[in-house]
Formats: sequence, C-alpha cells, structure tokens
Amino acid sequence: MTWGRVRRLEEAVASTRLTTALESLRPRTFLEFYGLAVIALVVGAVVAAPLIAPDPLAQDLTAQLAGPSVDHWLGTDNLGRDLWARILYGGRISIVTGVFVLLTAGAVGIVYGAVSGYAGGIVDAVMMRIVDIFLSFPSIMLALLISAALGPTTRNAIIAIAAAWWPVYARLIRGQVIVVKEREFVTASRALGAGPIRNLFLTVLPNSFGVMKTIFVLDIGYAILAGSTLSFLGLGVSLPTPEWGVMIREALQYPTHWWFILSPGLALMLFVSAINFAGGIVTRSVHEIPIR
Amino acid sequence: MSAVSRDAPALVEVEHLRVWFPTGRGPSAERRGHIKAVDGVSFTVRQGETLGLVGESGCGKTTTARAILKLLEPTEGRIAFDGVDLSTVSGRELRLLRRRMQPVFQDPFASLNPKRTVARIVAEPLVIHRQGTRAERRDRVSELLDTVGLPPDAAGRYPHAFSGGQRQRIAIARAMALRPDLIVADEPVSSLDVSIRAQILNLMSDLQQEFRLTYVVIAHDLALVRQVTDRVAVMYLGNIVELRPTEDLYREPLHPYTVALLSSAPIPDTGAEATRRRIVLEGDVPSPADPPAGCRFHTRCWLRRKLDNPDICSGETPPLTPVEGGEGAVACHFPDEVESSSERRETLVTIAGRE
Amino acid sequence: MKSLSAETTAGPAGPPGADGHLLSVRDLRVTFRAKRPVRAVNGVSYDLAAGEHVGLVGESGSGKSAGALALVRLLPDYAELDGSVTLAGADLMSLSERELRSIRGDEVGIVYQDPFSSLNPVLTVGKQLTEVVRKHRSVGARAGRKEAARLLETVGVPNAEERIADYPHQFSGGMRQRAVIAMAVSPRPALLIADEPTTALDVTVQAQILELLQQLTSEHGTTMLLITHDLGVVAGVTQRLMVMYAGRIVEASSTEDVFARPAHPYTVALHRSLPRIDTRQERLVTIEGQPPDPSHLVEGCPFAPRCPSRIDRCAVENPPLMTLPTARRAAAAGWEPLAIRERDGNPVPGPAGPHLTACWNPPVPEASSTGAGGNG
Repeated sequence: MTWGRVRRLEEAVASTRLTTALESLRPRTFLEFYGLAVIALVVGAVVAAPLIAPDPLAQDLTAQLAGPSVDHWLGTDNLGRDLWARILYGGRISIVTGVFVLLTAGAVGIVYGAVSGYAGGIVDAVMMRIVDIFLSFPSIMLALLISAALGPTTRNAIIAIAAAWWPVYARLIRGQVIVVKEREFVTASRALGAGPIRNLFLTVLPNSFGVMKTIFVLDIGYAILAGSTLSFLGLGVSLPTPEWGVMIREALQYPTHWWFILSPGLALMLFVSAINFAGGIVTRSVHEIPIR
Repeated sequence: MSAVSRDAPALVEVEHLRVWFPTGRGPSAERRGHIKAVDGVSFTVRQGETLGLVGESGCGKTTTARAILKLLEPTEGRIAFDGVDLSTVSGRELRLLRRRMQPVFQDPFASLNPKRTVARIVAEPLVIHRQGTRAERRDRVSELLDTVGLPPDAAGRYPHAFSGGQRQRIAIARAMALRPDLIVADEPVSSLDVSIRAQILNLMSDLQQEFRLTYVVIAHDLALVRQVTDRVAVMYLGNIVELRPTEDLYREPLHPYTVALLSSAPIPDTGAEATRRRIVLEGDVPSPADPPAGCRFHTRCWLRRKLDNPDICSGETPPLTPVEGGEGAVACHFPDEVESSSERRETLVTIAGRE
Repeated sequence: MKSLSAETTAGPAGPPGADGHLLSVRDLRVTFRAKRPVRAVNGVSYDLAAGEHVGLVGESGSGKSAGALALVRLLPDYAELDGSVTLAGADLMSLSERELRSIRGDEVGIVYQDPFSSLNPVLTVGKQLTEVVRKHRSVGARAGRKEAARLLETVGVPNAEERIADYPHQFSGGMRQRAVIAMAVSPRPALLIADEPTTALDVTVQAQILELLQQLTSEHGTTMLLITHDLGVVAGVTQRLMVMYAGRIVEASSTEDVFARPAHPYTVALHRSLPRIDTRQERLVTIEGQPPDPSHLVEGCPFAPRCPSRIDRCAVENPPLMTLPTARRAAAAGWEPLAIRERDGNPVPGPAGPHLTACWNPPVPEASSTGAGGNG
C-alpha cells in the first residue's frame, strides 16, 4: 500500500534470507517435517517391499480374515492374503499411477497451454474453447467414461485420469505464459533474433512454473486418490493386483472385519495428507525465489 | 560523444511513422478508438552519431524505438535500416538484421532472465545466431565481461547476485555480443543509483568510440541528454516538435515546449535555481487517444496565450520545418516569437552555458 | 526497543524540545531483522525548526526513507527502532500505537513517491479526502464533502467539484499526487515528510508539484522534510541539506554551503558525476565501486572503499560528524574521539548550525570560492 520505498528494503531483506534454493526447501514447521518424513517412510517401505513383507498373492486358506497378529501384522483378507504385504505392493501401483498421471497430464497440459498462450489471438481462442469443453464435464465422470471404453488396466487408468486433468494445467500455464511473455527479458530475447519456439520453451516457460509447482505437488495426492477411486469403482486396476482402491472395494463386503478396510483407508489418508503438508515447502520456495 | 558530420550516411531512416494501438472492443465503430502513440514521425539516424529522443511519458519515444527494432509493427510509414526496408524482411534476413541492432532496456532487473547464469545470458545471442564453438563462446563471454568492467567470476552467478549498475553492464555485454552497429538504449540509467549513472554513461561512450557504434538514446532527463547526444528530437504526443543538433537546441531552443522542458529541469546548483525563470506548464499532457486538433501543444502553450490565442494554433498542424540559417527543424507556427521572447531569454540565462 | 539513550541527547543542543525545535531526533537507529540484519539507519541526530524546508539526500539504501518513516514508526514489524524522536515536546518513541495514529496525519503529514499506490483504488478521490477531513475536524458529511472539493481546488485540480466523484485511476499521475498532497496538508500538520514526491512524475509535472509544495508549506508555516536522491530537486526548494550515506548523515549545512563548498568527498563526487543541463562535460567524473550493502557494513568509513581522498584512519575508524575546523585538523593532530567531542561538543545538524562533515580528510574548497574554510 503505502510502502513504496520500504518495499526495496524488504526485498533486500528477502534476498539476504535466500541463500540457496536447497535451503528454502528445508522443512521449517512440524507439519512440513512430518509430511516429508511420512512420504520418505512410505516410499522407502514400498520400494523395499520384497525385503520386509511376504508374497501379497499367497493365499493362506487357514487364516482367512484373521485379525492382526505376529504372523500377519495387519491381519489377512478374505482369501487369507497378508494385508501388510498387499498394502506395500498396492502402494507401488498407487504411487506410480499418481506420478504417471501427473507427468502425462502435465506434459500435455503445459505444452498445449503454453502454445495457446504464446500464440494468442484466434489460435488461443480456439484452443481455449476446446479446453472449456473438457472442463465442462466433471473430471471423474470423464475419467470413468474413458476408462470404461479402454478397459480396466493400470495404463488405461492413467490415460483416463490424465485425459480428464490436462485441461486444468493447460489453463493455468496459459495464464502464466501470457504474463511472462510481456516481460522485458523476453523482448530482449526476441530482439536478439530468437525464434518463437526457442523463446517459448527456453525463455518464457522456465519462468512460468511459479504457482504450477505447488499445485503439481499437491495434485500427486489427488491423482493417487483418483486412481484409487477408479479402482474402487472397478474401472482401474484389475482384481488380483493389490491396489489401495481395489482393497477398499474388496473390504466393503466385510464390514465387520475392521482391520480389512482400515489398513488401505489409513494408508491412503496418511500418504495423501502427508503430501499436502509437505506441499507448503514448495509453495514457500516459489515465493522466495526472486521474481524480478 | 563524438561529433559526426552532417553528411555521414544514414543508418536508420524513419519516414512518416505511425503506430496506433486499438482501444476498446465494442461492436460499434465509434466505440473503437486508437491510442495514437506515434503519429507521423520522420527522422534519420546517421552512422556513428548519438541521437536523443526526449519527451514526457506518453510522447511516443519508446514506441518509436521499438518500431526501429522491429519489436512492433508500424501502422503506417517506412523504416529502413542501412537501406533495407524493415517491413520487407523476415526469417533469415531479419535474423541477420537483428544481429546489427540491439536494445538496452531501462530496468536491468526486468531485462535479464532470472533463471539463467550471466554466462548464459551473455552467450544467448551467440547461441541463437550459431556463432562459434562452445569453447569460443566461453572465451567471448569472458572478453565481453571484461569489456564492460565485470570480474570474470561473474559468469557463473545469477542476475539477482548483482546490483543495478552491474546488471546494466551485463545487459550491455549481451547487446555487444554480436558486434552490432546500432544500440537503442531506452532510459539506460534512470533506474540506477545516481552515483552509478556516470559509470554506465562513460562505459557507453567508451564502447561507442572503440566499436564505432551508433546510438539512439531515449531519456526524459534533459541534463543526461545534453551530455551524451549529438542531435536531439523532442517529442510531444506522438510528434517530433523540434529536431536539432544538441548544442543548438540547448542554447537556442525554438519550440515553446522545448523552452518549457528546459526551464523545468532542476539544476543541482543553488545559484542557478535562485536566478532562473521557470515556466510551469499548466495541466497534464492530453490523452494520445484524443489529441488536440491543430498544434498538439496548443492547449498548454505559454506562447499561444502570450500571442492572444491565434486561430492557426488550434486550426492547423505545424509541419516540421527546417530552421533558417541553421541545422535541424522545428514544428511551430511562431518560431521567431519564441526566439525573441523574454521567457526564452530568462530561461536561457542559466541553461545556455557556463563556459 | 524504544529506550532513550540519555548521553547522546546531552550536548550543546540541549535536551530536545527545550530550545524550541519542532522536531529533535537523537541517535535514531533502524535495523531490519533478518539472518544478516540490515542496518538501514545507524545513529542519526538532527533538529528541525518550525517552518524550515530541509532536504535529506541519499541514494537507495542510504537509509533516508527508513529514517524518515521511523519518525512516526511507519515501518514493518521486523524493523527494530532505537533512539529518541521528540515532536513539539512529545516523545514519539514512547507513544502507544493508538496515540501515534492521531499524530500521523494531524501533526505529521506524509507524501509518498508513488501516487498510484498511496490512494485506495476502489474509493473515489472525494470519499478519501472527505474521510481525512472528517477524521480531523468534526464536520458533517455534506460540509466534509464541500471542504474536500475546496482542498482539491487549492492544490490545483481543475473542476474540483466534478472531479471529486472520480476514482484514482481516472486521475493522471500529477493530479493524483496533488490529491495525495491535499490529504496530507488538510489537517495542517506541523511537519510534512515528502518522500521522493516527484520521482515518479514527468519533469514538467515535477516542476508543478514542487511549486505546489513550496506554496502550501510557506502559507501555513509547515516544516518540510524533503527526501530525495536528486540534488537538483533540493537545490531550489530547501534551505538546509543533510546528506546521508550508509545509514548516517555525512554532511549537513545550508543548501548553499553544501552546493558551493561541499565538505564531504561523497557530496563532491556525487555533484561532479551528475550530467548538467547547463553545460556539457568532457567526461563525467565517476564514483567507482558500488554503494555499500547495509547488511554487510565493515569497519571504518563506509565510503572509504570508493573515496579518492581516503587516508589511513578512514579504514579503521568511522568519522563522527564534526565541525569543519575540527575535521580539517582531527586526523593530522591525531585527536581521539574524546578530544574531538571536547572541541565540538556533540554537534547536531540543526537550524543555523555550523557546516558539519563526517570525514577525516575533508576536501578543500576550490580557489574560486574563498573564505569557506572557517565558517561556522
């Protein structure tokens, strides 16, 4: 507001605080620390699953629907399979689904949105109307439709969710590109003779990711949720493969055996909320990188 | 900077340049208007000279500069660089032309890509124009950094590690990378600390002599313009009102607006401030979307009021007419009256020179 | 944070307020908390008399703005203040935020650099002006509005009656700054702080605004503290000058003295490095190096690394503000701080005070301006 002159000092203060990008990525609050720790633990356990858990598909018909015990830490399911193992192996699929959805939707959305925003005019108008059409469907509905059409496999689930999500990224990045392309260093690059492709991808885009980074990180959690939702509805991963959504679906038939539904539900909740908590770090790093 | 003979060949020729920006997007024609940022401007820039474009915000000086650099398209008129009409070139030809003309912007905080190291920023023109091998480019970057007075270890750092003056040096190094003929500098020092400005101005002057550069310098600071230019074009609302050799303009201005500008510039000297006459113009610059008819300056002109508001001022646009018995041109119906006015005399008591 | 440092207020100037100064500042310090604290203002003292126009000149980072805003504690939370500020006998540093609020505006008006951001964009200019009028005078809505229009007219906004319904964005930059000035002067403050009031404006408009400020402050006998980086702006408007560098006042005297007989190498160099409209120099004299980083102040005089006339003592000891005769002899005679204080007392820039400089080796005035040596 009235801080015209003080602002410069504040900037000076901010820049002394900023030493390295890494430092700003260090967790500062308890929740951020907790989030990072949970993510590290879960990812570590999932990767190390073969070392720390039995075969997730091995059936032990003598121990169907057994409660938590020394043999089966989290109990067993209706076919006597170890839930601890299924959670870990299922996490592999859930996390991979989440990351791939993000990569696919992100890549498509960013290129599409960047081109649209940079081109401007009629090209932009047409490209954005197409995005509007996509956005006018509820995204889960769209994913369901596509998934139903393609058949229930992990790959198809990724394609289905990515297809529903890319327009959001396209919109976001377009807005950023429109702002950044008017900045002076872009004009400077143009005056040097840089062509539009070089200009867009090497000069404009790297400076357009600011807000996107946060949204992207938070969205990993939602992508995992979306993947599980599809599986839960029977349109994602096919049955014998353990996946958190699939497990919840299976467990629904045995509402009296609480451990059955609790483990995948808790796993999902723990992991997604951890990502949300840790997301604050990225937000902060975005704000601390000098924009001018 | 160096004196350039008036017969030096033209590097840039601007003829009847108009740049209009559309405003409003109504369906009806009358709601659609234009900001007439530049409205019929002609001048040449001679090889090796420094031409100043001065005027207040909204006078069209920056737009003119951007048109020369082909960063925006003229609505009308012709701009030629070394005889080549800019509107006819594109693709490879245009890229070759761009190597010969480079901008330096006002705000070195905005004109450098914050995500790149200094080495990459300075090397960018070489990469774009595929000049040299990687090793050669690295050598050229250190050479350039040295030329603009930056330490060699600057190469590995990011722009935010530098002060304003140093950043402007980086921007100048980038502009010099392709050994251009023309540099268009838009307020090159106005965002810098006062104690740093002289360093940058001297650097630009050294580079001009060493590399035989031609400069177009845009500035609102009249003191600075007197220091660095050979000729000056004074702009007002999209028109050039006076275009003269620098010393002539400061010693004997012929347009009432020039007189007023000179009289408003503060002088860091208490004696001069106490004795001088200041012509305070009334009101603001009118909107370039709806400029006054006739002479565009007539609504604020002190001379018009003194001459009892002659009709010609509001009725007829004065053309830019060559000055009798001198060099340059002025666009006023009554240049003789300016010359004999007490206002000009009293303004010039302090301006004309301390030699 | 708001402790009064008793010793620094002693000296020939006497306790602040007692000798009729409108404003007395003693040993003002502003530090912005950060990992490496930014020492924006490092012990600034001065007096302002009623009706004076005083210029505070410095570059960005010199602490001139932080020092002025600190007077009414208008700084962000992470700023630490120290020292004493006395306005018409009232100790501003010990006032509560609520008491201060009535001082701001009522006693101290402020005009900022950027008229775009100092007006609220969603309220009409008239509404904002009326608010100010009614806050300081108990008048009705209609009378307030009328007064607002009158104010707008006195600051030279044409058709004030109609323009009062306009929003700030419908005003030009110059008109907006006029409206801001109208708000600042409407309560008839005793002190007007103008922080780079013309930097964002064009030259012809700058001339208008400076004239307006001159006229309004002289009419009401307002004291004006004009903060700027532009030596040209202060030359015509102020009677006294204080030059700041790296958070301290390095030179102070009458404006005429500072221009004709600058006594600090920084002032000399700054003056010589400016292009001038009335002449063309062969080559501009430059000040080498960069302004100091206020989060990284070193021992000795902060200007020493850039100073053409530095001597050995400059590198180890930051010179205090001294009278010129003392400054000329202090280094050669090897006077210690105590000896200097004995000779000078504790000189504080104030009305009709001597020419002060913080330099161990002050420049000798050029031959043309004789008789400068022993003034004061």
